[in-house]
Amino acid sequence: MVTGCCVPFDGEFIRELGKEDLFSLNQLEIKTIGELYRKLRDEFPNQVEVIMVDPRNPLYLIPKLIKETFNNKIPFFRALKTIFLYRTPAVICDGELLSSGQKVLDQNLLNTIRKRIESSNK
Amino acid sequence: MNSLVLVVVALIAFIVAFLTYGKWVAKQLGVDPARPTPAHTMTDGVDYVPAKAPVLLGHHFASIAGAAPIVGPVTAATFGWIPAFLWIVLGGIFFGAVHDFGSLIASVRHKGKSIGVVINDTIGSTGKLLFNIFAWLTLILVIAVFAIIIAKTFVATPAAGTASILFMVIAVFFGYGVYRKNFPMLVSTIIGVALLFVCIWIGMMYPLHLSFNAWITLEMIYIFAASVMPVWILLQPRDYLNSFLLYALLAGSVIGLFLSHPAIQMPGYVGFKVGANYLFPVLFVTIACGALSGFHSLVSSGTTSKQLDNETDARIIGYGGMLIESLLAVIALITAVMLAPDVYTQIMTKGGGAVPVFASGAATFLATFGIPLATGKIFAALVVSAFALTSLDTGARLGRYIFQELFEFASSKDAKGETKSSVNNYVATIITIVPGAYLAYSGQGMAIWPIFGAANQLLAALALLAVSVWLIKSGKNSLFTQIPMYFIFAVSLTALALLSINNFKSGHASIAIMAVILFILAIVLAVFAFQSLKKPSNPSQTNAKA
Repeated sequence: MVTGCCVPFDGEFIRELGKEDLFSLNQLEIKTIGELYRKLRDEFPNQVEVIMVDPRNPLYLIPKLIKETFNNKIPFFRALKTIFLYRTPAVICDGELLSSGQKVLDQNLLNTIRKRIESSNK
Repeated sequence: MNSLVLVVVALIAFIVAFLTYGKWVAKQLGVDPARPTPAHTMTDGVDYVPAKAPVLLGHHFASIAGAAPIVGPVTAATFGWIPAFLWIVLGGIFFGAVHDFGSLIASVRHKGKSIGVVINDTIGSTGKLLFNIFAWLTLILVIAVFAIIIAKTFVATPAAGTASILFMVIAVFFGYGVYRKNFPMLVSTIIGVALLFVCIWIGMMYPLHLSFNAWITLEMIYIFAASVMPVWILLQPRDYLNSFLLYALLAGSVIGLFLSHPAIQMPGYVGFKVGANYLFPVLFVTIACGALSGFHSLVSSGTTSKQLDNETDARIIGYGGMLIESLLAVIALITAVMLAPDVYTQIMTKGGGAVPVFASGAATFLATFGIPLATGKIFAALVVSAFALTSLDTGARLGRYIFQELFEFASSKDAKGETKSSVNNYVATIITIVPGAYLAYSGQGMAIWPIFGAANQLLAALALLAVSVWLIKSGKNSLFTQIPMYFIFAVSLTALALLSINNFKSGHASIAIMAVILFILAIVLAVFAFQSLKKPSNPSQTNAKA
């Protein structure tokens, strides 16, 4: 959604007006992450907490990233990479930047996440 | 009296209201923590994704905050701070927050669909048509009134004009870099925000002195171009960078206000009639977004309803989010009432209007951090005008879409059946912008603003009607939404009648005609509303239960 306060410009409303293609660039990123979200939800129900954050929400995102890198004792320079160098769409797992800017879901990413979840369950 | 008293009283009132009345409204709406939301039942990871309350509140608030909760309260201070303060606080608690909360829950129960669908489902296609007509007319007023506000601000603060133009250039580079070249988001943000402050410095060095009409013309060219460009080039990056300006201004102003705690110098109550305007109804349509805003129903029923994790979160996001905006309105009011009355009048009439008043007050708060007054003024003016500019180009674009839908202008298709850009897009844009531009050139921002407020309030009335009908059809109490709706009808109708008479008398025929059109539509809407509320309960007409 884009808004100057008095004029909310929302995807849903725009779709109803037949202008679905307006946010096509964003839709591509959202669909990629959406696919990953569904796979994780289906494969690991109740085992993994998935938080989807709009990159336009830095008030939540940046403190969360700092907290995650600190709590998971991520080495300093890798923590800096997580916090400062992510490209959207980004996948961050326990403070570690696993994927950055990939518009198509990568099977290697999925395998990496699976291994991390399985090892943390042991 | 110390201005902090207003902030503390408002804060206490909002907290108490949230814990008591908000809780009661939640019960009336049938908020059920055990009922899964569309974010869970329709999860697709794309639109429908559960988001935690703090995450969603941040996004929701960023979508509803902007220029209007600043301009309205500053303008309404002319009646005295007591009535303005009371309307912001009580209106926010019993009207605006209820409207936002109700719209959110109604949307959640309609599978996260927008308020337009809720209206169509509960009231029918006539209601939806009325909603679109109101929206389009309100957008014309948005174009007119915000264009005037921006032009007057840039005439009074030319440095802000320069900074705003440079801001657009930065936004274009930001958009290209982040959305096309996939530069790292945070690094780009830091550079973008830092460059914004450079823009302010350049603005101070090279202020752009243009006339009011010249600024209006530039704005119209700008919004025409911006509204037909891809959103990633200018609209999205500017909206994104705007939010940082707002956070900085809010944080600086709130802390600065507490540190400086200026005394209130304006009178508490000036009189029931000030100039040509009566306190009732003009106060209630002058302060719209800070107390009640129809456009918030679009926000509540947009992304927010699709990402609500649990129905119990709706209270903090829908009800609480509006109260936070009301608090912003209180702070904006303070920037006006801390001025001496003659200084306030001078800036409002000859010094550029509401935005320079606000900028002056905000600069005083920021000065507690050692920021020079002149820099603080330009920064505050830049922030408010940035939001107003975003409202301008989104308003033009959305107005074009709604106009096309209303009159079924189809874009032409090529031999492959794909939509191609056609003259109709440009015609629809021009048809939307021209009336707004015509009103803007009049320069009568103070005359147009309450009409815009009335239109916005009528949108809210329509949303409240939809929520009321939905509650009635579900066998629930709906007085808490009906009473605000009736009040807003009474206020808006009275305001539009008086404003049309006043504007005819003072020779502003075009503004008067707009008020008359809205008045007639409001009557149609009121008749329609009463008919909808009296219809026998027909649960089969809606699948959504309260």
